[in-house]
Amino acid sequence: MLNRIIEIVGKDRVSDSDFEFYAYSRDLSPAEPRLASFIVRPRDAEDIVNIVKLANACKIPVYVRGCGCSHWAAWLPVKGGILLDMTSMEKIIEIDEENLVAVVEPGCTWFKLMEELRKRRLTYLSSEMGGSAMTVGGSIVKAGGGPYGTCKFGFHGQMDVVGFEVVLPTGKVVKTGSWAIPNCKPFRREGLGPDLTGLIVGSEGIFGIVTKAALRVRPLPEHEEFLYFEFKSWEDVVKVGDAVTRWIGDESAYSLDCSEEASKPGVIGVRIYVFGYDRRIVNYRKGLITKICLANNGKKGDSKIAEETFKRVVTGLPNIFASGVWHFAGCGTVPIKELPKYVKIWREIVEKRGFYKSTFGAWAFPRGWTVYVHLLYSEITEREKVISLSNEINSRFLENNNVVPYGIGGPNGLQPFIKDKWGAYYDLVKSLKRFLDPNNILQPNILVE
Amino acid sequence: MQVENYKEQIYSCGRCGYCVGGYLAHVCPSRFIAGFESATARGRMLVARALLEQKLGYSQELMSMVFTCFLCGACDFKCSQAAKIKITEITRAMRSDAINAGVLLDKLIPGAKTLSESKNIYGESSTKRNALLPRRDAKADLLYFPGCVITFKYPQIAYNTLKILNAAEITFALLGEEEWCCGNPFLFMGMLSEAKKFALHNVERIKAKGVKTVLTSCAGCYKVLSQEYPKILGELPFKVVHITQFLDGLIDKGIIKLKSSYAKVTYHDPCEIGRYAGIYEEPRNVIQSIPHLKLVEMEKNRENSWCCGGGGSVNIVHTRLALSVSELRIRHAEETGAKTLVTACPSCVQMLELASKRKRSEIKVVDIASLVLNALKL
Repeated sequence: MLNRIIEIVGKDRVSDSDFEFYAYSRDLSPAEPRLASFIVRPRDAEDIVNIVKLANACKIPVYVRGCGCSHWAAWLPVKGGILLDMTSMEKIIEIDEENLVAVVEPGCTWFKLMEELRKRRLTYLSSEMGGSAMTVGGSIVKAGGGPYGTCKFGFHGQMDVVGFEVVLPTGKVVKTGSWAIPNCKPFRREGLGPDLTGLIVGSEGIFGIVTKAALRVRPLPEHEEFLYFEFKSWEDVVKVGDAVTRWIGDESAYSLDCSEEASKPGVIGVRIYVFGYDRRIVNYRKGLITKICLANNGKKGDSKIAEETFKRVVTGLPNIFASGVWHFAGCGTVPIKELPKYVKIWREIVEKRGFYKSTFGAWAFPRGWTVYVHLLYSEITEREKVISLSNEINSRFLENNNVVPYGIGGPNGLQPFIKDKWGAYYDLVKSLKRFLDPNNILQPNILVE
Repeated sequence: MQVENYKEQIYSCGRCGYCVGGYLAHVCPSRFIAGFESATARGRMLVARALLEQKLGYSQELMSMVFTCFLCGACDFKCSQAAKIKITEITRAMRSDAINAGVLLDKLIPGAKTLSESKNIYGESSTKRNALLPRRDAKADLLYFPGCVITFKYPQIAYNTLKILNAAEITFALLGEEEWCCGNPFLFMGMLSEAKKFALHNVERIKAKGVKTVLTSCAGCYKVLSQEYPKILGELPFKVVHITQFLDGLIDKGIIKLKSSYAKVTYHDPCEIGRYAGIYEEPRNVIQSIPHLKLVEMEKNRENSWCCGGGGSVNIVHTRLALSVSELRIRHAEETGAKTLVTACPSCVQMLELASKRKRSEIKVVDIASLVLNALKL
């Protein structure tokens, strides 16, 4: 098997060393290490085509990893097999300044794309809250999103993905959107019957391996403002989110991010980012949001707190592991008015367990919130405790079937909490998977069992 | 196990990827040459953890990977903004544990043997240290410690330094044939008991000279004498100064004066005085003291500097790959438009000169003492 992989990618791009398997054995979650049988760093789509053909011939699983920053065990090799390290494909292929589209390889990081776009006075639409190593491919296949830009543009895939080049599990290469038409550039996502770009967004890599992504970019805003308010009640925060996102398409804020630390109950920090291409519009939005916050009992604080958060959203926040490593639980999206009930559940659980190294957070998107519970723990002494805590939070958040999970992942992610709940929809996803991947070689046991 | 001492730190890695950086292969030279995750600081922490948990054992193959690390400290700097893990210390601990487990890479054995026997890395006779730098017995407060690379490969750096000292009317002592290698290669290889032997020898000889200050032109010697010797032997009765600090002081006090030069130069920060010791401004002050000389920075400078390719003994284990790191640094220098690349370490000079030649680049690599001597009004 090793020799056959070497024939495809060359000996410098494959490893079957035990220490390498350990180096690739964890994501950011507390999940047990999972070991692959081969690590492969493909050069291009052709390498991937040949790898999946080999995998089909040998019935060996293929897992796909960006820079490994998943919080949901979304690529950990549940069944061993080949682990594709997509950071070997990290090029920015084209920045089309006319059509405002950037074509990148999946291993390109948001940080790199941001830097290269900025040189051309451009930027992207939205981003997750992650470190500098977070990749475009990894974010999009899980329909990720973070506080940055989400209030205006929603999650990855809602407005920013124009098309993909994808290697299907059988080895066929397909382009989506306008890109599917020979000689047509990727400038439009719709127009060819069903939205097959949307099939890949959020698929967690089970339907195909993205080898190129075409992303909508936009001119770098000329003007920006940051606001920071403190609230005592989440009901008031909800009123702010409701008002700010009500004018769909003309949301007043670019980003609206809120959090409460378990050790400081009743102190809710709200960070707001306003941008625009005209100073008058930015001033108007800033004034409007300030009025909304004050009318809802917000207390104005130091805007630098918000500026620091949003400016470091891609490069990463300082001292992030100062009091332990991270785990996220209960991550999902909820309708705009339903936020407070999840705060209540979180407070109950942390109080009951006496675990105060936790933060409840939420960021707004058009007519909804993404909620999350952030847990800090010691991997030496508190790993089991935090897994148990996390399981309780996941279970309680998802029990009423009205939270959309942020990412599902494998058996160590949210999969066990949702697999018996989604009925026909879950069956449809499984059927599509069987149709596209008859040998179940691609990301087996991720997203669906 | 040395690695055991770092258990808490190893387990505090949240695998955020700060150490990998946004331009994935352009923060860590180890990642640049090896590509795989085990070459990143984050991956190495998982390997260290597997070693601690006895899921892995030391082997030639594993150590070949560990020796893709240049110990340049770029990951330490990145992680200082996240989990504050001393990654290079942990990497050194892995090297040391491997030695204790009886695993020394085959490629390192000849060098280790040569160093043990001849007390320098080139297997040269110690008496050559006398020939290069005639011994002076004058009572001095300052001792010049040129180190192996300067003594045997770049004696001109020593001559230039001593000319500057003479011009400044500063008396100095030398150890001559009593000088041994500072021990840095042993520390790179994880051979701590050998390194201690060398440290003891050098410190005893320096003490016997009764000097207050030891001056080095080599960034490696500087780091070892100023940071490693005190760790091994406790507080030392002398202070250690790097040539860049010394020259900055001479210029600042007006002891030496420099004449104009109309060149455009760029400066490469050696890791062992830069990230390890924070000596960033002194060399720049020296360069900018030369009237009309234009200093242009490479994009990667100071804490974000790119290794010359000469660190961590990688150039012995993965010679071709280490040179690719050096060649990239030459490209960084070319991008500034400067024709001269100034640095302050003979190992950096060696790697960068070689890379410049291989690339047929117009970049000329110059040690800072040579730059100053040329500008000195003698």
